Amino acid sequence: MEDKERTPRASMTRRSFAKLSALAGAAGAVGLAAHGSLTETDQAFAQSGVERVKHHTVCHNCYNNCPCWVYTEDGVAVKIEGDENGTLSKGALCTKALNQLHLVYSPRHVLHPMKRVGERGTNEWEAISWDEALDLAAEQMATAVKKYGMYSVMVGAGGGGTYGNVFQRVTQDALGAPVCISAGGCQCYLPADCAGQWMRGGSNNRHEGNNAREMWNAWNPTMEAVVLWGAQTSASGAAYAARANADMRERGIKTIVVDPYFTEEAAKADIWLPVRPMSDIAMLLGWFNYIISNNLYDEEFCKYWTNYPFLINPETRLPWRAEEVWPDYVNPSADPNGVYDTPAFVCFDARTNSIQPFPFTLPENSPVDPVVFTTAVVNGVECPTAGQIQWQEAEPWTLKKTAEVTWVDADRIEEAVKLYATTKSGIGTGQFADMSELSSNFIFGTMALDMLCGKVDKPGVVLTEQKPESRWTHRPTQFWCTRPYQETFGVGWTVGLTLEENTRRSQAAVDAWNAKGVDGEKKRQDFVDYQRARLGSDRHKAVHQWQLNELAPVREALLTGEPYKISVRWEQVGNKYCTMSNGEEWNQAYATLDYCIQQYPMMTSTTFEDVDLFLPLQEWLEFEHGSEMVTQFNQTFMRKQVVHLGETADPFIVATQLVDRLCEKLGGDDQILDRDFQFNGTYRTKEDIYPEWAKAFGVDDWEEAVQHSEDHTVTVPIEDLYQYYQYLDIVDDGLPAGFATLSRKCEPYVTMAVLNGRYGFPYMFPFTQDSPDDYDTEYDAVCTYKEQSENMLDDDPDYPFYLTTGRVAHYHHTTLRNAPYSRELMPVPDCRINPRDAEKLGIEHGDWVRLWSRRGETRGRAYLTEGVRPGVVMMERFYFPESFDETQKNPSGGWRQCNVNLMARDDVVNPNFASASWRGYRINIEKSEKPEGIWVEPEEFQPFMPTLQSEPNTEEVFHRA
Amino acid sequence: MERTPGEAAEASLPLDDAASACIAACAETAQAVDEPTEEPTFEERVARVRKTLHSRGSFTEIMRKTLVFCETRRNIEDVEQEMATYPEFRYVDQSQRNIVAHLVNAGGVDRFDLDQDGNEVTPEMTEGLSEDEADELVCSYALQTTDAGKAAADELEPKKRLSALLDSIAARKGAYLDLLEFCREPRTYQAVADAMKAKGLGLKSTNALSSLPVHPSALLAKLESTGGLVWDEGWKLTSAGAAALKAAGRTV
Repeated sequence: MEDKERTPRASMTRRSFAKLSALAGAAGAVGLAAHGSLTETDQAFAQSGVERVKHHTVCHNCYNNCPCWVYTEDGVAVKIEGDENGTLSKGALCTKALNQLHLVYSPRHVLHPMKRVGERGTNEWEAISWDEALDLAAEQMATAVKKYGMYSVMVGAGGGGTYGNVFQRVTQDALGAPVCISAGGCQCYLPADCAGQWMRGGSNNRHEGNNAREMWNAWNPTMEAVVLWGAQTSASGAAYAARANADMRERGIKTIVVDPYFTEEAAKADIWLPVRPMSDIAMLLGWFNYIISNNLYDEEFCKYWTNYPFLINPETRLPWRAEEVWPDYVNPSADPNGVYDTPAFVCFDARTNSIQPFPFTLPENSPVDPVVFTTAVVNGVECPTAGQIQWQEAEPWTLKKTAEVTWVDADRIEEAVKLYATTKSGIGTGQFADMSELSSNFIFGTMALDMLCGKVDKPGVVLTEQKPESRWTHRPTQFWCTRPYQETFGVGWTVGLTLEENTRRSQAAVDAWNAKGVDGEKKRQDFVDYQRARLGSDRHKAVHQWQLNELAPVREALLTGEPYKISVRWEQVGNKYCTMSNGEEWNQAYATLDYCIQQYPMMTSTTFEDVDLFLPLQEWLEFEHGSEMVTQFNQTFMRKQVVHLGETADPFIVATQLVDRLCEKLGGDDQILDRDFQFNGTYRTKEDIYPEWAKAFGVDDWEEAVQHSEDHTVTVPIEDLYQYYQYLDIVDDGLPAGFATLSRKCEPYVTMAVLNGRYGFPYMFPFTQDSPDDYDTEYDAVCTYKEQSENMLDDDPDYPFYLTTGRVAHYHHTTLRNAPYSRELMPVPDCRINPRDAEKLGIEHGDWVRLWSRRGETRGRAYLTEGVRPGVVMMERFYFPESFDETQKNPSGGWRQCNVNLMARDDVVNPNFASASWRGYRINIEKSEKPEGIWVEPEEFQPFMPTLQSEPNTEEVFHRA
Repeated sequence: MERTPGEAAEASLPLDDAASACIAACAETAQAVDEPTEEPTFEERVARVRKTLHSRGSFTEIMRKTLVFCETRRNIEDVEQEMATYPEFRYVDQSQRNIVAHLVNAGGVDRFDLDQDGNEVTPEMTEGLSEDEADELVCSYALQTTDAGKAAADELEPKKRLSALLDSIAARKGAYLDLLEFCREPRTYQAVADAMKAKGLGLKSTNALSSLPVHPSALLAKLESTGGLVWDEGWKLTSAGAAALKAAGRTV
């Protein structure tokens, strides 16, 4: 609809904004400043009529992609409202979306490339053209490459769902530059992504990430109960997930919430388990124990659709293969063509009371009745089943012990676990454990519990695939990401294919290079060398899942200059000083860099501290797209460019254009690892990508179609969306499809974790990655009890409190801190503390407090609540105030004053995923004073009020070749 | 990329409102923070210069050389000409005047405004003048390194630092000297890498969080930052590097 009409110009007052926000936002999350902070202002009506146009697009302020209508008046965006046809959002929008009107016209939204002319740490810039900017960036990068080689260029990303991350991955692959850091990544979602693929060859149980959403099935409700474990879904997706969760509860689905903090979900839960922070692994093992002890698990599913019955060789920690025990064994399920891998394992057979080969078949055709929990002698060695190994870990965790360790009443735990185990239910998780040492233990445990209970791929469970394409016609396979590493470089293993087929594919890639006149063996070796050069990947080999590096070794590499020199940093980030621990050390580390390039819509205190060249990106009202963050639930929207200011650019195009310039400076495309690899996700101009988007939406001409974007939403019919029992489909080898895992079954015993730690599998094949002599990379294959290094069980009188963090509805990651109305609502960090603790410390609600850990200190305002237990303090993760303008005496923008992560740690990380601890550590707290330069009062946010409405709408940079 | 004196790119800032707002955002904040509440001690002043010297990797050696050059008072035009001869300068994106301004702000160099006859503009001369009139008096300026600037530069003196580097890890000394020797002729990075590979070095990294061996770039960068090598479209031995080779009994 291009709904043009002439109407008086409307404006949104602070009060109307706050009203909308309150309607859309989750209950209970409004900060301290909500009272009395709103100022009545006059509505400003223009004297004359204006041209009013209604546009359809999709919000991009988080990953929920709520469809919306945007009104422009004479080309100026004046109003955003939800699209009532959004399947789950149903017309709701949250504060984050509404803030876009201020962000796009914010005086902080930079419209031209900016080159630093002052010293780092000051804010003196010169506007330059894109041509100059790209030339300058490429020149600096080329100099670094000529001097020190390609490893001297580091890239990075941030912002999570807000801005696409694919650019830095394909760019680093194209360059062959191994250092890529993300404050999220290892600490956010990577563990769940791995677990989904490794354990069931598909999606995972992450509720905050929208994988776990069967509970939102309002059309044919299937679930009776759901466990929301550390998932603050209502805060992370106020208009979408919060709404869907409310609908879910209204349908009568019971909720069990496991969270140390009284979240929006906990407030509405049927059962809330307020666990001691970071005691979740003990709670999980208590559930394993109870379910197994009381025979509440799904024995049939465990026997035939999981690897629990497989006997494990204690020496290799891998399941015995039938051929290892019976060399002449002929696997009846093997692919005669040698392409697809369907191995036979070894089990203890209840029918014969002996160990037997266990080929892959339908249960009714199985030659054995495998025992899930037992031990048996194989080749002279006493071997446990995989199930037995999990049981051994769970056995000590009686209800009594679980209650003692988690600090939750045993009866309440029992009530919860019984509800979970005896209903159609599943576990939906949050990101909380990803930001801790426990990330692998947690995700392996929650996924395995659902598998133990047979809660997989059927109505009423979380672990399902909601897409028509999840049905297979052959043995399911999967490669760890959607990018063609195996086809291009001959590196990596496709799960589900045989060794012979994987080897053939690797060689085919080598041959393809040779055919182009390039030494294919050398190219393959260069690629794997580049992979192995990722810092920290020798200890934490699952970081390859997302081509990331462990954070601390990168910082150390910058500070020591070893093992290789890093000279130039090119990142698409907001404010990493607040999203990572050790901010002061990073500040010193970045000072060693010869050149820093940042691309982002607005400057932050990171820009101020160390960026030399700033490349301005688009806010989402300026960002046209057909694939990046455009799908919500079953609907895929056209992202329409509603306005466009100055010379802001599309991030994917910036990446490509800069690599083009770099190749020119270096003397040709062959000077980098693989120029063409860049285009697995990026593009040179909009014109280049339009045909692809047009195809995806089934239109002939994207540019014409996007003008009426509301007419081109691609919707998967609900009846096609919900798919169940895919693993039972008989595929072309005459066998049930099974799962895209190593065994073709669910793998609650995570074989891939063992292989990954030992060899760097599947990322390195046909090569391996060695481990350091002094570091054990024998990763746990089942959920194993662990506590954080700093936990609440130890007596620690110097640090008597425990810090946990959580989400708030006002902000997404580090974004939106320059949004004045949200800042009025929540101007500074809340430190949620129990009133009994506060009384002892002489702290009253609203007092400023100082918090400190063994690593650093910060400040915030006390928020007294019974929502946290005594001894615990909860703050929003990633908090930073971003308070700077010409009146400020504080040059840091506040990251040194109000930044929870100055107390966090990355020196002890999760073994598999290198997840650092952005939460879960000891602190102390005392009453304090407001730090100088931190804004609190509404009028202080005046410098953030929008000023750019008079900017003309311009054609997008790099629109056409 | 290369600039000549007078082609300075100081922030004249022909910007729109948005850009101006960004620029204004913190331009004064650093100054505000640097405003001393008490007279700083000599050590504090040296630390301030040191911070600026190490605020950006590619500026360090340029600034050090500039501080040394300005130990004698110099006109800005002479400083610009001098800085333009530094191999490091051709690879940076800021003008001589900008870089010098960083040193002035840090207290490493004193600035003396000069009138059209080359005489210093004193406070007495500007007394009673408007701001514009006072500005019109200034036609150029001279620079002289302060005691704090000299002390900070001395810390980076190549001979001293190179010697310390060579003696820092015994197992590496041979590799460093081999590199210096190899770069008597200008070398590309690839040539250096190939030569190191041929020698089969497998030096352990001082980055305790990585098991990767030291790459050639790490050694080159250390020799560069200590003044033994310089990048000038190829890795070249400096006079300090040559002296170190000679002292070690190697061929220069």
